[in-house]
Amino acid sequence: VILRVCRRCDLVAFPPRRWCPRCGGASWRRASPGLGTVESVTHVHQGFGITGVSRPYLCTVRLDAGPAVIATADPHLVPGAIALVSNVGGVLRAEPIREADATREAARVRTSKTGTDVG
Amino acid sequence: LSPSDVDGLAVGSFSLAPDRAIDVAWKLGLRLRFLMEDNHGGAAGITMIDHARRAVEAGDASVILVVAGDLLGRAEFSRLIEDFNTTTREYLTPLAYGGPNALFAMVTTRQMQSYGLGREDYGAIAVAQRAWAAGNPSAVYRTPLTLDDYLDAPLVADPLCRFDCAPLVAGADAVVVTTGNRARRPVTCLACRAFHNVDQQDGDGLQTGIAQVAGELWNAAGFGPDEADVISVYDDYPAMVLAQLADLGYAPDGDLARLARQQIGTGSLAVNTSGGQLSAGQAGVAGGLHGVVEIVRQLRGEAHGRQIAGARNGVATGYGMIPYRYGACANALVLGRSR
Repeated sequence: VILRVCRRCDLVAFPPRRWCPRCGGASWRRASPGLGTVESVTHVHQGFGITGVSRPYLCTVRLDAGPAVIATADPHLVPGAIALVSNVGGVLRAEPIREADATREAARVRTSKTGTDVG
Repeated sequence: LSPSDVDGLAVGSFSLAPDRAIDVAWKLGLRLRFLMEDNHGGAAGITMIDHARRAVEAGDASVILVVAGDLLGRAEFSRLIEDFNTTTREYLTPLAYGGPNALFAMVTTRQMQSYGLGREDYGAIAVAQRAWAAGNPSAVYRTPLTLDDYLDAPLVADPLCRFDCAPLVAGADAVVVTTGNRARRPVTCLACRAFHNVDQQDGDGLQTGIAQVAGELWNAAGFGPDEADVISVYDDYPAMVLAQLADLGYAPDGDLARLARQQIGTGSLAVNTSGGQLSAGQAGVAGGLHGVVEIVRQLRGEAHGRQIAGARNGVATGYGMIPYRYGACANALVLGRSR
């Protein structure tokens, strides 16, 4: 559960694809999801495998890195909020983040981008 | 026509496995020059019809039976949604997402924000389609639905409630594709276009591939959206009814609230006159043929109880198959009554 970055054109993809949808490249490096903006949230009440005790909050987050991802959501997230998306136990999880922390996290991501392969 | 006239078969089903189209052919005793299978859900029906039409025009076969059907119990449907494709298996099922309702709940929220829509606007669609369903003995929901019934229904995945979601049923739809001289009261394929995976799942899901090909579609048909007397749009959810109608050109000003209330809600635009899947039910891959069958019935004057008087032209759309966030397949078919 990690982003893929095209080694040829730097397009960021999630979920992974075989070929890059932009340039056709077939070689990828990995990157962490990081920050994004919540697009929409839903609280699932009924569905297959959904019970009264496990009603998930799901959200779609447009990551700063590019792709829109679906993640389990902290119940306090609302559309427009900034969220930190990370891999928690093999699934994507979106958590609210304070503005100061968001600035610091964005700076950290910018720094790490100068490195080569992430993960 | 009798079964011995059939020399082509196209089959769509999620629940046919381990059988395939050839097993259906054998069990029905059909000897065939044309055989295909397409399981691309809500788009399969129109794809199969277009392939069958081309085969008949090329002389490969003369009478092609196009059939789509499904019988999925709770356990089978649960397996289908958990294992719909490898991306779902690896990236959605571990979220315990509960099925496509949650995904279209988020699409609907985006549409509400982008177009200033409220639940009452979607309710106008559900109520209007239920009114059409009263005239369709095959619909599973036929009792009238009020806006209050719609608004008060149990929550599924907010903002979607029960009557925003097509009820799962067992069922089938079928059409015969053949040459005009063999058919009684024939209906003609005037134009068909498709565009799949138009945005690589990186958009907002509010526009389908139909938007890309609508201009070509109407050009090939020889008339515009205003001249279609009956419309079937793939209605897994009311939000997708609005999206596909807009893609076809029914909301040139982008006013989806007016489209929902003034045109669909009043019945002045004849949309999903069978009741659609929202009232007639969704039978797996048959859902992609359901709207086509309704247009054919209307153009043949066989839509008793819901007949649009003098209907001459109609358009049907197919939509669906979710790689990750929303449907990636889209197509549209314009049909006309032969004179």
